[in-house]
Amino acid sequence: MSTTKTDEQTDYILEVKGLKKYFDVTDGLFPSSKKYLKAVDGIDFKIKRGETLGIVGESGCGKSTTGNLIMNMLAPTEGKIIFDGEDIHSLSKRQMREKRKDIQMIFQDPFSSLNPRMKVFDIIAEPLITHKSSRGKELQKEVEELLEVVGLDPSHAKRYPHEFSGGQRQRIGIARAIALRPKLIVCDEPVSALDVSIQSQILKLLKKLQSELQLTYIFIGHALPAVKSISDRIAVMYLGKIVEITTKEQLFSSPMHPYTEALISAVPIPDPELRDARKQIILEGDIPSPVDPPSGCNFRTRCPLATEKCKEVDPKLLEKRPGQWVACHYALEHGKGIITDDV
Amino acid sequence: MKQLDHMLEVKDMKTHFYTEKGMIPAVDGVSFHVDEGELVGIVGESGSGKSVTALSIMNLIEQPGKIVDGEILYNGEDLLQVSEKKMESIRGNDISMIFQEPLTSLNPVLTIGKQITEAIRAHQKVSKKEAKKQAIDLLHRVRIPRAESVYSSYPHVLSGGMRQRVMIAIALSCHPKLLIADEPTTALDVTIQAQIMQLLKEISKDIGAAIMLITHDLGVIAEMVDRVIVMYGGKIVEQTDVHTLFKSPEHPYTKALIESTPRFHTLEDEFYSIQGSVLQTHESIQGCKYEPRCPYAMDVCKKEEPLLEDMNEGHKVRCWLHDQ
Repeated sequence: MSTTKTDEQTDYILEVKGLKKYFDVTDGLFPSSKKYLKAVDGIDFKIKRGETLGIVGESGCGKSTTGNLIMNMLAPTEGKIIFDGEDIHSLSKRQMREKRKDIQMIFQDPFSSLNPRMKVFDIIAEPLITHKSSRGKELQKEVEELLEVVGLDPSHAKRYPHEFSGGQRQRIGIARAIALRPKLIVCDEPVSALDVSIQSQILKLLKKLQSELQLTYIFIGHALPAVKSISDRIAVMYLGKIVEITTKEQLFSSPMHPYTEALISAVPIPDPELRDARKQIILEGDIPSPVDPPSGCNFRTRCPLATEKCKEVDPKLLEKRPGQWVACHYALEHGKGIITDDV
Repeated sequence: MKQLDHMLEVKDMKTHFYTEKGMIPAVDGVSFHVDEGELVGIVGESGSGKSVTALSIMNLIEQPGKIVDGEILYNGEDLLQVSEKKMESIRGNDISMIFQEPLTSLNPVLTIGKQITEAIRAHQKVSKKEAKKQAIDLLHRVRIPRAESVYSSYPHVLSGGMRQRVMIAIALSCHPKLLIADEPTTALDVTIQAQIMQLLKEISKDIGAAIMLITHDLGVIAEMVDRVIVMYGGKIVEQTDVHTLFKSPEHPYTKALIESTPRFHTLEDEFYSIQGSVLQTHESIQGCKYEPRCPYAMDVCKKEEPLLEDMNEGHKVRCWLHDQ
C-alpha cells in the first residue's frame, strides 16, 4: 500500500501548473466568431518520483491531450510543465533532445505505432543509435537484453512487427520505450486494444519494470479497472478539467465528486451475486461537446446534485480531505464507493 | 435428452473461411439453445468465433466464409434450408441484430426517421403516417429525448450512445422474439454503456424478447445474462448458468479468464494472467485448442480434443480433466 507523504520535501519529478490547450476550430466561413475546442482547460497536478499517476476519463475529457503536452508533442496554450525542475516548453531544441531520453511514451495501438517495414531489432535499436551512439556488438547485446527484459525471445529480433500478436507488439513498444533508461513513461491506453488475458500480462510487465528500473508512470486510460490495478494515485478528468485527484484507496473507498462516483458505479462488476445488491448510478444524457461546454461546473448538466450555484460558479479543485482534491461545491461524503472488503 | 421446444437451437454448426492461408475453422461445431425470453451471453476473446456464430444464425456470412455443416433450428425450422425470401422475413420479424459500431450500420444519407419507417414498412403493411407514429413511439421507448427532432436528423449529428439507441429502435421495430447484440456497448464510454445495458434489460422485461449478448467483457456478462457460453478457438469450452460460472468455473480457460479480469470491487490488485497469446485462427491444433496455454495440460490434451460433456444439470465442460 502506498503511503501518503504530506511533507513539503516530497521529491516531485513532474509538476503541471495551470495547463491549457485550446484548439482553434473556427468555422472557415465565419472567421469573425472564433471557436475553440478546450481540450485541456486549466489543470494542475504533481507526480512523485517512482509513483504511478493514473489519468482516467471518457472521450473528450482531455486525457490524451494531457499526455501529448507532457511529451512536448503539442505546445500548451497556457501553463507550465516542469520536469525535474525545468519547464520543458521553454527548452531549446537541443536541450529538449537531451530531455527526450528521460521521458518516453507507450502508445495504445501496437499495430500502428511500430513501423511495419522495420525489423524489431531496428525498431528497438533506433533510440540507442540516435541518443547513445551504440554500435556493433554492444548494440546487439543491448537490444537482446531489452527483448529479454520484456519477455520476448531475443532470436525474434530479425522478425517484422506483423509476425507478432498484439500483446507481443506492445512488448516491443515497451522495449523501445525503456531502451534509454527514461525516468518517466507516459503510457497512453497501453492495454485498451488487447484481450483481457493479455492486458494483465502487460500490466504485470509494467509493474515489474517500474520496480526494477525505478520508473515513474503516467497511466492514461478510459477503463477504470486497468487504471486502478496499476496506479498509486488517480486523477479523474471530465471535459478538460480534473474533477478529483487522490490516492487509489481514497478514490474507490470514498469518492467525493459525483462524477467519480458515477464513473465507478458504471463499471460492470464481474460478480453476478452483486448484480441486484448494488445500486447503480446511471447518469442521464451525453457528455457535452468540449467546443461548447456548459457554464459554471462542466458536469452540472448530468449531475444529480446540480443547483443554481453550479450554473454560475465553476468549482475550484480544492483539498477537501487530506490528500483528496475535489472540484465540486457539494463534495460531501455522499458516496461510500463500491469496495466490498474491509479496508 | 429430448427438447423440442427450444426457440432457437443450434446443432453442431460449422462456419469455415477459405482464405489464401488455408481453411480457417472460425466456428467449429457449436451447439446451444436459446429459450423464449432468456438472456444468454456468449463470451470469448478475439478469434473465439463468437461474432461469427451470431452472423451465422442471421445467415449473414459472406465470402470467403461458408456455413459448412450443422442445423440452426428456429421454432423447429432449419434456417439453413429456408429460402432467402423467408430468411429475410425472419430477420427483423423474428430475429434482429445490433452491432458494435452503430455508425457503420446506419445509412449516413438517410434521416433516422426514414431508416426506422423503412424497417417498419418492410415487414408490416402500414401507411406512412402509421409508420411514423410507430417510429416515434420506438424512439420514446429507447429513451431518446426530443424524439420528434431526432426523427428528422441524420446519424452523424447523434452521439455514439444515441446512435446505438436508434439501432436498438430499428431492431425492435418488428417485435423480434430474439435480439442478437454483438458487443453493443464496446465502442461506448462507460457511463453510456451503463445506460445502454439498462435499456437492454428493460426491453427484455417489457417485450419479453430473448437476448443473445456477445461480449468479451465478463463484467457485462455478470450484470446482464442468465446463462453463459464460453468460447475459445471456435468451440464452446464451457456452458452453464451465470452464478455457477463465476462461483465454480470448471474449464481452465474460464478460470483464467475470470482471474485475469481485474478485481475491480476489491482493493487487492493481485492479478493473474494467462501465459501465451490468444490463438491465431490459422494455427491448426490437433488436440485441445487451449492446450498450448493451459497450465494443467497433459499428454492426452495434445493428441485428442475433449468433448463438451455434461458435468451437472446444464453445466457442460470441454476438458480432459473432467473425464476421470
